[in-house]
Amino acid sequence: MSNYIQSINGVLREEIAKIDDLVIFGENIVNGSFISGMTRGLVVKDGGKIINVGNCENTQAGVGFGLMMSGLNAIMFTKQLDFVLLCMDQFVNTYAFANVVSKGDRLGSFTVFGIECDQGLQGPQSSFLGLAEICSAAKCSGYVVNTVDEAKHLFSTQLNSPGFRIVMLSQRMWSSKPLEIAVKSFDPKGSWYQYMKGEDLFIYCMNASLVYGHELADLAISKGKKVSLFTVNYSMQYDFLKLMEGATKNSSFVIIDDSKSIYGGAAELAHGIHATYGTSSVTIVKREIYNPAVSADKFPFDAHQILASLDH
Amino acid sequence: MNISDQRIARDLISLRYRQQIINELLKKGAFGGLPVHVAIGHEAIAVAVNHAMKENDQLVLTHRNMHFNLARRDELECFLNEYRQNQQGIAQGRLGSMNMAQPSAGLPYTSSILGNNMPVACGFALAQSVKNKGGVVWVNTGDGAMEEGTFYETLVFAKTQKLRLIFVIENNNMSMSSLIHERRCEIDIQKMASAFDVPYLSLKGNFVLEYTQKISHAREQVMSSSGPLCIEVQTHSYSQHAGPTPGWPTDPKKITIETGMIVEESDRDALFILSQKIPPEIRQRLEAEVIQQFQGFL
Repeated sequence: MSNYIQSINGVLREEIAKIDDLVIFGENIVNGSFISGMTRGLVVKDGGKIINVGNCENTQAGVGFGLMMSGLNAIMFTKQLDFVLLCMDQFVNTYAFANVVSKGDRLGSFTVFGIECDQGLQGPQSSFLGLAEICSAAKCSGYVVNTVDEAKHLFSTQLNSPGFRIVMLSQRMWSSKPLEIAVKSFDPKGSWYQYMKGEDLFIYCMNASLVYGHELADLAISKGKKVSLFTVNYSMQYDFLKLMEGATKNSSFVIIDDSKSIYGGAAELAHGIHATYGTSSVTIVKREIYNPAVSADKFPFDAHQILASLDH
Repeated sequence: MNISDQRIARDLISLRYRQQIINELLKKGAFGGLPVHVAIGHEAIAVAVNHAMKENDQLVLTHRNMHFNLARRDELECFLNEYRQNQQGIAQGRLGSMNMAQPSAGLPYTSSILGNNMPVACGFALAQSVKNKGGVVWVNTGDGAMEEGTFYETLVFAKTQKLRLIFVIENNNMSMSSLIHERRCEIDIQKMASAFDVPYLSLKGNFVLEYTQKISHAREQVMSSSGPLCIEVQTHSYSQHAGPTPGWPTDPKKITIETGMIVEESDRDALFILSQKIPPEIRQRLEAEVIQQFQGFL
């Protein structure tokens, strides 16, 4: 039985081998541990290129945008989301230029693909978990892969899609057995995936929190509730009517966000639900305090307590 | 003086004259608050690069891009319209001044962020290499922007990947209002390039025909060696950092179109140097042609 990263790597190998004019690059992508197995065995089609590069994240991002504006497909692999912070000028300013000067069909694609260090053991630094903030600044989509089904859809549709996006994997799940739960429906652009459909309780899982949402859903179902369960990625435009399809005036809404974003993600989603549905009964489950000290990063999640508070 | 050299000389005169027109329009507030960076004094390198560029070459620019953009296209109205942000502009009024680019003319990207454009130029050069397009990528930077870490990073990247990338470093001894000695230690770019085994070319004297010849040779060198090259050119900025010159009533910098195209009788002024190097009757004829071509803009 494959673990999370072995499964994701398998999907990645398969999809990357299908993409024309693909240049993939990053640090340590063709040697050592292959970034903990993420890039192991990647092969590109004839006419593409795989480049092991030096430590220069800002330049790597600029290179990706140069390739994209040349009509090629580019993927930059990075060890962890923290390193991506060095790319912010390119994400914000170069992508803004590309969007203005290029018509969509003339752009190639550029994807930054990496790992969120979400175990909390790295210390005050190297624990950045704010993909929402990055995506907000860059005006781009951001995805965190929770299941193999998501990987299959995301990689087949986004890795060669014109424009720029960021795809992250969860290090916390690295050696775990992947969640065995099948996608029932999805947004074609990958802004959300739906795993269960029901009208009593709507659970939206942001970042890598599907495991918690699944636990809450199972508990609610055991109590006789009908549950809708989603993962929601960072998108420039959500279709809230789709995300709330089937909701009634008695429905409850829970957003789970295990990231360390303060301004992005959950708050935006809650605002959209409220504006669309007119309900203020949206429960957000997230970290209250960001403690940067080194410690195993346990997300405070108590499904029984959440369900009890909803019933109350 | 052959026809080709006369064309280069004419382009230099045209570039100076059009920048002077823009400077006069800026004095009148013609473009509202749009930040426009005139480059009077930088004409020789811009004309030389334009003439050295071949098919499939690309040139990546900075916020002070006027000289390179105008050198690429011997027109004025389309640039003024871009500054006016209307649809007849060179980029349909969507890029303005500091990001002005002409992708269809080999100027695919311009950044107003210091140091931002060099990594992107690396990407264009890598795409040229992967797709075997046969062109060279030129990237413009200055003595200020090369202080950014991306200069170092892209030298390493381009050298390692054997990219045909030519750095055109305009050294005007100035970053906004700070001279080099007012903000940092001296940096010997030749030694820095040498550390990466990157060829280096120094250009001084502002003679556009000499610049064109040397730069064309540098391009051939890059084509045959498949690696980056650094050109450092000594320039003098007669214009203020941004906006018109003079920028205020007591501004010591003075430029006016009424006193002619030569700003200073010095080897810092490419127009003065041209006047010393080519027959006066040819220069006068070329100047008359240019003035005729662009009459009516003031």
